[in-house]
Amino acid sequence: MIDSTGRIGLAFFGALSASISHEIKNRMAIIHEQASLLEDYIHMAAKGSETDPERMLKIAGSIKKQVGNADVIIKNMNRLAHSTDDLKRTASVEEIIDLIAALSKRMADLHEVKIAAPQAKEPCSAHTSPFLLMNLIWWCIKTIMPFVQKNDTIRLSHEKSGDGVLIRMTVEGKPISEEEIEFPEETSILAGLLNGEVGYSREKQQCVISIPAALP
Amino acid sequence: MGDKVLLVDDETDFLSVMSERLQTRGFDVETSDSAKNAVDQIEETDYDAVVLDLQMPGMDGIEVLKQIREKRPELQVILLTGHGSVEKGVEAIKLGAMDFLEKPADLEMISEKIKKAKQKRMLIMDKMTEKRIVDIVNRYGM
Repeated sequence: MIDSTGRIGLAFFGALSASISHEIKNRMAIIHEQASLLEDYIHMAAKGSETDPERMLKIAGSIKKQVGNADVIIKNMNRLAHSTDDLKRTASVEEIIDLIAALSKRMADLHEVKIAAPQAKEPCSAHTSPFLLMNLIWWCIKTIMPFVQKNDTIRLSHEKSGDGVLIRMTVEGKPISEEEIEFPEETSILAGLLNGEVGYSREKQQCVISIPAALP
Repeated sequence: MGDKVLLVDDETDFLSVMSERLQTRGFDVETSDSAKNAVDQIEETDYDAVVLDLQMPGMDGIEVLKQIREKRPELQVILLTGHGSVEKGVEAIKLGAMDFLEKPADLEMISEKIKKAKQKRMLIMDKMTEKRIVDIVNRYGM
């Protein structure tokens, strides 16, 4: 029987794996069509049609661009997979936020919402579980996403606060009322495992996660 | 003029290369990178077939399919998807999609399905015309 932590972790990992594989398949489909288009041109040239080297180079450049895009997706998938290497370790909070923002982009695109994770003024690290922290941030984004208006932005930021770290997800655009948002039990379970807290401030239009700088 | 096709996908690179390849095979291709625009285009233009991506921002392919069935019941829809599972495909077929293909799909297969879609649409339109004539005859006792 899988306990609630295992269930939450699997749901997160499963959702992101589905999203990532979908993205990779999309890139592969474009590469497949571009390579096939090159084949079309080669067959046409073999039958005597004039070839346009510039056009060929452009298609080859597009293939390289798609390979580069796919490489970024796979690197992020690899970073996600390695986040389970250690139960806890000292990790850059900025890197965790960057990664989960990148991994949540497809979900945001489907909702026509933007996700921004600008560079922090003062980067900080925490001795925590990177996997559980990413999992918690993802659940928060997933919870607020349906209430964010089309083309509005969820801005992720973090800062040191006393002995801990605050991670903010600020909605930039039409305000969301506190009553609308109901955080699922997954968020409180994950916050508990991280010795942290999670909440939403209507005044600041922010979902805030606080975690200690170091888990015991 | 070749079979008139609307390609709908939010990946503009995919649209551009796919439309070029279909055009070289004699198809008359229009594209749409948004579900909403696609629904508008379908209302304004007579297409022989629509090749539709299943997952798009704003409105997913299933919702677009429902709207097409409502506005243009004769129009044949071929779904293309990056989904590995067939569940969505089964749902789409139940909702009236003509076929469901997984990306990357073979262009010859897509071309063949577009041609079949045109034939199927023409048959449906013939039946619709026949029914209209029968209705008129019955109504006026001709």
